[in-house]
Amino acid sequence: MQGGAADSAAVAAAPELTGGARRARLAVAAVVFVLLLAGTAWGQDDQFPFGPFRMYATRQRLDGTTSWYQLEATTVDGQRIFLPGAAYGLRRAELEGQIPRFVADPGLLGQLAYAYEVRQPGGPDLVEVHLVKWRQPLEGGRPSGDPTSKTVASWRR
Amino acid sequence: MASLIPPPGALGAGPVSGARTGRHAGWWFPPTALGRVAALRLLAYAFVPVDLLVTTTWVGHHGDVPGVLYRPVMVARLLHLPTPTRTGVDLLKLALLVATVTGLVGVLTRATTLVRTAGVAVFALYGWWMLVAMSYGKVDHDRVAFLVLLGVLPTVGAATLGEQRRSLQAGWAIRMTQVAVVATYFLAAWGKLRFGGWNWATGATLTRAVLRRGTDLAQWSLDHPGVLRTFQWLLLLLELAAPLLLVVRRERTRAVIVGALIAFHVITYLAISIIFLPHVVALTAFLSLERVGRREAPS
Repeated sequence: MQGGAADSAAVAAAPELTGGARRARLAVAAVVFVLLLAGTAWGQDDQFPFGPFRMYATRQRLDGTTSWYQLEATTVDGQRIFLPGAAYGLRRAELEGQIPRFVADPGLLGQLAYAYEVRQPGGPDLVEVHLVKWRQPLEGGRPSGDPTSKTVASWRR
Repeated sequence: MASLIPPPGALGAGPVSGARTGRHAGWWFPPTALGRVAALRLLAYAFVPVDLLVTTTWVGHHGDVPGVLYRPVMVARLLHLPTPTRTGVDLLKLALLVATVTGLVGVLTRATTLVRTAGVAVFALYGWWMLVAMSYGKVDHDRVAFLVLLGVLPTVGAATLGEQRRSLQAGWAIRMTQVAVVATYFLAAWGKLRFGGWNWATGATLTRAVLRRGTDLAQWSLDHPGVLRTFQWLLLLLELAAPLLLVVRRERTRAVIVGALIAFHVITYLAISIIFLPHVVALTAFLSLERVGRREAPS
C-alpha cells in the first residue's frame, strides 16, 4: 500500500503542452480520423490504411451459392495435388483478389509454379497448375448437398 | 490512498487540467499516467517480433512471389516503393527487428531519446511492412489501431513503467489509440451496412465464413443457421455500440469490457481462425497499465 503523501508526489503534473504542440496534435487527429471516415464512406481497399473495413462485409444470400477458389497442380508423375497458399506465397484471399487476371492470362499461374519451386525446392516438379472454383449451394442458410468444383484456368509447362 | 488519484479523463487533476484547454479540445488531452505509455511501448515493441516471426509469417512469403503479382496500394505507389523481392523483404524484416529490439532496450533502460528514435523507425518500417502485406490483392483491417499506436508512441517524452505522473502528451497518445480501436469496430459495422446493406445480419455471411475457414469446433453451426444469424446480429450491435467504451469512466467496467472483447476475438479465432492480434494490443490502451511495475515512491 502506498501512503497519501507518496501518491500526491507521484501524480504531480508533467509539463503542459505548448499551444503549438497542442494544435499540431489536434490537426493530426483530425486528418487521421477524417481520412478514415472518408475511406469508410467512399474509399476502396486501394486506400489502405484508410480504406473501408470490409472483411466479411458483403451479405451472403440465404438461398444463394457461396464459392471459393483453390490452386491444384499436376506433378511430373501424373498426380493431382492441392497447393496450400503457403506453398506459393499467397494467401487464398490474395489469389481470389486477382482471379480475373488469372482467368484472362492463365500464364500467370506459371508464375505461381515458379514461386512454388522457389519455396519448395524439395517438392515434386509441377507440369500443370489449375485454378479451381468450388461452389456450395445454400438453402435457408444451410449447406445443401456437396460442393462442386470446376477448373476455371490452367497452365501447362 | 489510491482514492487520491482521480480517474483518467477527470478534469481538475491539478495544474495539468490547464485553463487554456478548450472544453472540446480538452477531450483529446485527458491527463494520463506516463506509466501507461511505458507499458504500451513495451507491449507494442515486444509484439512486433512475434507478429513478424510467429503469427503473421505470410507477409514475408511475398518476397518469393514474382513481381507481376504485386498490386501496390495507393500509398505504396505514391512513395514509389520498390517491388518486393526475397532480399528486400528479408532486409526490411531485419531492420524492423533491430528497431524494435532497440526500442525495447530503450524502454527498459529508460533511455528516452533512444526509445523515441527507435519508435519512429519502428512506425516507418512497420508501415512499409504493412504495404508489402496488403499489396497482393487482399487488404486486412486488423492493423489500423496498431499503426496509430506505433505512430503516437514516439510523441511522448520520458516515461517509466509504473510512473503515476500524469501528462497531456500521454493523454493524447492514449486517446488517439482508443479512438482508433473504437473506430475499427464502428467502421467495420459501417462497412457491413455499406457493402452488405441494412439486412447484412439476416444473411448467411457467417455460414460462408465457416465454410471457408471454419475449424472443427465450428462445423456444428452449419446445421444451425439461426444460431449464426443471432451471432451476426450480436456482432453488428457490438460494433455499433463500441463508441460507448469512450464514455465509460469506471476503471473496473472498462476492464470488464476489454476482457469481454478479448474473449470475443479468441472465440472468433477458435471458430474461423481469424484473430486481430495487433488490434488486441492496441485495445489494452483502455486498461490502467500504469499499475504494471508500480513501485513505492522513495520516502
